[in-house]
Amino acid sequence: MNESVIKRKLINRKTLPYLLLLPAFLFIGCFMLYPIGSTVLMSTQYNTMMDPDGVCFIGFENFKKLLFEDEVFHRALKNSLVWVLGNVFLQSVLGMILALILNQSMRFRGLIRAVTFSPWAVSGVIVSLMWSFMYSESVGVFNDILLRSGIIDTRISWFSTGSRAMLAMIIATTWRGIPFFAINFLSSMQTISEDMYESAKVDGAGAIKRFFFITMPMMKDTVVLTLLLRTIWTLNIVDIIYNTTAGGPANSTLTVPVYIMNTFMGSLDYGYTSAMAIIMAVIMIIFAIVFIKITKYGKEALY
Amino acid sequence: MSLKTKERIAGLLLVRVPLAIFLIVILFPFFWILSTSLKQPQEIMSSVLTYIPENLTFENYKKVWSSIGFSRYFLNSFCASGVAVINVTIISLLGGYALARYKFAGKGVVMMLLLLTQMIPGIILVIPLFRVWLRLRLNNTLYSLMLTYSTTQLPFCMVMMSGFFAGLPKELEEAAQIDGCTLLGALFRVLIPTIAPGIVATGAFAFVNSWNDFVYALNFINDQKLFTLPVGLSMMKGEFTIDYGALCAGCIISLIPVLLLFAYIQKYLVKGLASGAVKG
Repeated sequence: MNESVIKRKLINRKTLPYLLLLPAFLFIGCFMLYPIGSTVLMSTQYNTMMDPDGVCFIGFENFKKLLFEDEVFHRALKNSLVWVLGNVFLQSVLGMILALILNQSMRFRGLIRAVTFSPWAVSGVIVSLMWSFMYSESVGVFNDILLRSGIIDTRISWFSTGSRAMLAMIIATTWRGIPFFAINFLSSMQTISEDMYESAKVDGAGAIKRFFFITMPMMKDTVVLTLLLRTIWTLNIVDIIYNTTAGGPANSTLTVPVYIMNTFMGSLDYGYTSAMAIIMAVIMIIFAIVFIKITKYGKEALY
Repeated sequence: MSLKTKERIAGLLLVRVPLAIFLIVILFPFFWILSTSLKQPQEIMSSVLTYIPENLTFENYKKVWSSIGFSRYFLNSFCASGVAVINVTIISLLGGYALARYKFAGKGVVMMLLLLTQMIPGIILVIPLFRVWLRLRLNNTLYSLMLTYSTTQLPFCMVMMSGFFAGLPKELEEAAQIDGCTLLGALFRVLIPTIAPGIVATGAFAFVNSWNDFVYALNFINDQKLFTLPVGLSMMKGEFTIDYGALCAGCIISLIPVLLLFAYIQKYLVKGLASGAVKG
């Protein structure tokens, strides 16, 4: 057989798509699927870097310890719920308002959009640093504004109590997250045809009615998918919390991924931290399935 | 009141005023760190805050760039993200083309898998990848970050690319092939130049995400010479007295590239290339 025949046998219409996808799946397989598989495996082991010879299978011991004994983990689960609900609620409502505003015709629309979307480009570390600085008790600008406007008369220490620290961080994260909702809602709004609004107007529907009976139903799938993705990503946020409070004071802002990170960096205990990661992933999968079921997602193609 | 004045007042109350509030809230943090980065230390720590710097100074920038080592961090971030972007762009061009143009067994599974990867928490990958890099002796090198970013950015970029290809008529590459191009020739000579702006936007998107990563860089790198910008910034805060002027200057330096890129890509995101799946 000469070279060109072999070439034709290997590369033809049937094999070509697989060959084109091969590099992508080498990366995804080696550095995503394999690691996830090994996380599952490690979660059933006693496995720490400090004791490399002691690795052994211990079944569900790690999970038992987490679910029934580790109170910090329970605390982190509760905090995660507050963190996610607070963030997603504020961001989606404000994101919707911003999208509705940006959907109006106005001068400098392109520039205004670019400016209002810019926080989405800011990294979690910078969000944390810039907002911690603004919240600072002695030199923070928020205390200064509140003092000057006479709303408070003593400086507030924003990170001294758990609930205040949580609120402060949710506000900072909301600042960054609004554009994500606004971008997606706006792109969905632009696919709704003007005619529908015109005919509704003729029938006498006011702006609020038009929003709830045309805009919202037409955008439903986008709203559902955006809420789902943002819920998952908000739960996954480490950088903002780690750099602002690192979970303090007294674990009151510790969420599950931050707890995983702190434990991993402190103990290099692969087994125990993997088990935590698995519990978190299972919770997210269950949430995603239930959320998709109850919202009846799926009339619109995903991609 | 005439209908026109009514509409004008409604527009003012419902659009202009809320928009102004949004703009102020969104821009203020940027303004504040820019203003602080140009102040002298005494002015930052003084009991009466000033909103516009009284004595403009670039000392903070000089300090953070040379003595704190941000020139180094900038270069590290640039290398790790840059290499990842090149990888991601080439690989997702090939994969995206396959997804857009071919029907093949397992395509549904592939699409589902790509969607699922968007939901994987970074923290789940940190632990096992740390071990992978140890075993490959890539721990504490920029290569570990290049490979990590290449992988994590790949799924979304591939879907974005396939969206661009799907928007092109099939006749385009058929004509090129009739004229004697090979398939790869048609891909690179005809298709890719046509969708070039979209490819740049996709690459920019991967760049912004890699540039902003903190969790992987913090866990995989422990040599200060190899720190990326987010880790360098985070370490500055760890010191006993925080030098706010230098910190703000460091933030501005890290922000400039991503804000410029983002201004370019945001219009592609609004066009709704892949509505919903904008990873951040």
